[in-house]
Amino acid sequence: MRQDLKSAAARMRGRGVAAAGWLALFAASLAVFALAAKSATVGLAPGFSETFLIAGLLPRGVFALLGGAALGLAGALLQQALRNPAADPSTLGIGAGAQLALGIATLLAPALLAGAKVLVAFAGGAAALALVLILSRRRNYDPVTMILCGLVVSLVASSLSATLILAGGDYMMSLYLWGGGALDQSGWRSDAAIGLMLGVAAPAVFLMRRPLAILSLSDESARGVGVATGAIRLAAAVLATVLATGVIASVGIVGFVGLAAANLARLSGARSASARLVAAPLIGAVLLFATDAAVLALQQLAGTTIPTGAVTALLGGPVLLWLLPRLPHRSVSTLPAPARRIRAVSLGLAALAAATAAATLVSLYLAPDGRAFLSSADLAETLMPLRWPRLVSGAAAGALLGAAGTILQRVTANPIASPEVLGISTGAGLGLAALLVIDPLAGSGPTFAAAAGGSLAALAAILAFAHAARLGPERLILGGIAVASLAGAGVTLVLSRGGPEATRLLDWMSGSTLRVTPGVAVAEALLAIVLVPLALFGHRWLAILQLGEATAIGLGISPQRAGGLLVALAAVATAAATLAVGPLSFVGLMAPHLARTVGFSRPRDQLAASALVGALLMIVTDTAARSLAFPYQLPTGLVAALVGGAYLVALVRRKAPAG
Amino acid sequence: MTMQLAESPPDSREDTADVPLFRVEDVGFAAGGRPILRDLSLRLEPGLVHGLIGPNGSGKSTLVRLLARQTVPSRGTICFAGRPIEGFGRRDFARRLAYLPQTPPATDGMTGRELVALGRYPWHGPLGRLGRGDRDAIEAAMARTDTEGFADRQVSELSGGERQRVWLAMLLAQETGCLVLDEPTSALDVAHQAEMLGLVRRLSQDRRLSVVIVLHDINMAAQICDRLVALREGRIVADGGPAAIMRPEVLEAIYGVRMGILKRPDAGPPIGYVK
Repeated sequence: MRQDLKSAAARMRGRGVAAAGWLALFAASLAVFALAAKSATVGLAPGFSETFLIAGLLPRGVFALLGGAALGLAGALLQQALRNPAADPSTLGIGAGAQLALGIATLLAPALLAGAKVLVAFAGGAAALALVLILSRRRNYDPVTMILCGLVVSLVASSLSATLILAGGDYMMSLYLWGGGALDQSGWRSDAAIGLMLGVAAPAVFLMRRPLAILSLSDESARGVGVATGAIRLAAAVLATVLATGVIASVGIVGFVGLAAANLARLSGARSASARLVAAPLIGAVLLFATDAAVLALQQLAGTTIPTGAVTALLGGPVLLWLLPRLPHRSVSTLPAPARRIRAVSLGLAALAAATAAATLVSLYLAPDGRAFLSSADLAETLMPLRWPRLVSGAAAGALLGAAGTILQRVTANPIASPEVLGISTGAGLGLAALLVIDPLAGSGPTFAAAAGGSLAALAAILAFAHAARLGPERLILGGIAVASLAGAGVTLVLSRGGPEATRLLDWMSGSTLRVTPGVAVAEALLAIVLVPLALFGHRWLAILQLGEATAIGLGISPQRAGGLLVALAAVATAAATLAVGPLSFVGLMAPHLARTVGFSRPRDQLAASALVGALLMIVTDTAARSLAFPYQLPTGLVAALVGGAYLVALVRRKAPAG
Repeated sequence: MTMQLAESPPDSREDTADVPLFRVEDVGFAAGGRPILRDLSLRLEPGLVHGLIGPNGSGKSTLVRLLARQTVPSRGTICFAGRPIEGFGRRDFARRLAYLPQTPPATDGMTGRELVALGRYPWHGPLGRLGRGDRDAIEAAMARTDTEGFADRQVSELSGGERQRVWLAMLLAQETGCLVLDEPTSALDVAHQAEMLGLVRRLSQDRRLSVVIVLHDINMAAQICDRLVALREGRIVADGGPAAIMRPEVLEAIYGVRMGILKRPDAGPPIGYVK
């Protein structure tokens, strides 16, 4: 009895200390904000300085509080409804989806943006969330899988956004600048909007708090006590999406505030669901306000303008790194066995190789407008020197990504695992971004080297994380997710500066193969010739590793070492591929699936087949990008993201495995 | 089908050296701050079927995992075939001891033959080709477990009993001198339990295999094992032949519940029941 009292007292003390800490942070931020505001108004014309204060700085400060509260509440709602401590509008793709919708509207239906901006953003965010949820339903809503799906959906959506921006030119660039999450305001409209949303959401959450708390149990138990799990979950998800997309519609993407706020709420002593639903918005408000105050102060002191949203995105990586190993592992039902198995595997592989060769020929000989074929003489004279580097590097990259994807999906027994998720591609982007900030006109040699450096740094970070935490191959993926978030935040930071380097970066992000030189093409081909057979050598390990740790040790393999080596190989292959063709978001995911569906189900067969399928996909995509919109060249990334998006939708519509 | 069992104290049927199969000395194991095994010392002889029995949470699974080198003890030493267990290379150890975990994993579209073939990995490694010897071993393993009919069928489509037999075939294809099985019969019905355990016993007798098997059914254990080691709360509370263990006072000390014994009408160890 006394023990209970003691620990209860200790908990109260802990909560008290935490609350005091947050209040202190708020007070400090208030002081910083006031000082920065004062310094910002110094030197302005007398009448204007008041206007600036009342219509610019004060709304900004209030927006930081309200927006932070909205995002904190959204994060807490999602985490409670989905039983996933890593759920957040950023990790589940809501942000990227909203941004894509706004981009499409800007390009195709600008009138919508005048009146119904929030609705457009909501539509995009809701669609992305729905996609992520349906994808993870097949794996029983396992938290890690959900985050992986969120990452894939985000990558596809931002790749599409990047190509839209490139297609739209300068006009669209302003979309990206705005999209970075700067909290500058002119007037109180946004504050009013967010305030209204919070005013509606808060009573709704209050009414739902009990069924929401019961959702912590399994679905069966919750239904057993009479909670309508589906309806409550839907309501919570819709509310969270409204709150998050409301903020995004006003200021762009402000990342990871919900993730940090909700988890910090738990750490500060809010143990029950209701307590978290109250504490998370408060902590979110303080977090965003503190960040914005710091950004404002930095602006005054050093003159650099960084969007606040990009700074909070930097939070994401470390928080995820801390959180992901602690995620509960939900048992997943087994994958359905493939329906078909090819008997004559060699024949099947030969057929695939023939198809790839045929596609290469078609691609080479296709007339630029895609409607006729060239003669050999024409081809040799004019287009061959332009076409073969793209084809060769594209095919090589496709093969590398196909092999890497197969390794990752087998080693982790997770069909959503894909090379892009490892964060290697994003690391390459960060390396490139860093170089371009220093020298926006850098040539292809330095950019190649910078991207390579970025990839290797990302790889080293992932391996270091996995080694330090002594986790198995599946958890390597978690390190990759964290690295992807961190690197992605860095890239967003650079992009939102809006300088000339931004265009080149977007160019690379959209997967344009236009600028592949013969040297790069040959290098890619050599890398593919070396790395893909290396992967094939590991097929026995793949077969045994999927049977789990106990069986692997029983047969004489160290799962850590074998899995680690294989994943490292996949990472190197991914780095090699992204150097030439950018962070494409579908080949590494699709090629292994397609190989399996066609009937190549044994590891060795699947590896070989998905390398061929990957090459084939890249050739087809590149040819389509080149010919579909003649005389314009579509970026390969756009076509790739469209195909990838369509594939995701197809995945979703296939029936989940029974039982 | 009766399963005859010698009543005399266990002694090795191996006529080779006097090296014990396992020598466990003062082994302790703790997980998450909680001690699971405490100061365990044990000596197992080759060529016998040893049964590990005891109530839930007594540490049986942990002990066999230590014996199978799936994990390392927090304290103490284990010697296998006269050498410290850490001294064996990974594949070398896998050629001497085969382990079946409590819940065999999902096999994702593998056929029976493919699964059994994996048992040859410790012999040919990641790069070696499957030779004549490997193929013979696979065929022999499948013949002995009567699983040839499942060679081309997907393991995930088999029934529980059939699947266990295929896994056992994989262990046999490893051609080891020692088998370690962790509750291989918990999910099987009575007929399949008897069938599988009878198979294990026959294999041990025919091929002089040493077997360490964890069983929660005391009667099944008494029928097929040459020696029973009983654990309770991480310590050994009884150790001897079935005749010595199947006594009311011993059973009560092991399981903490009053038990009685019944003599069987045929020859065989007595049956224990809860009073």
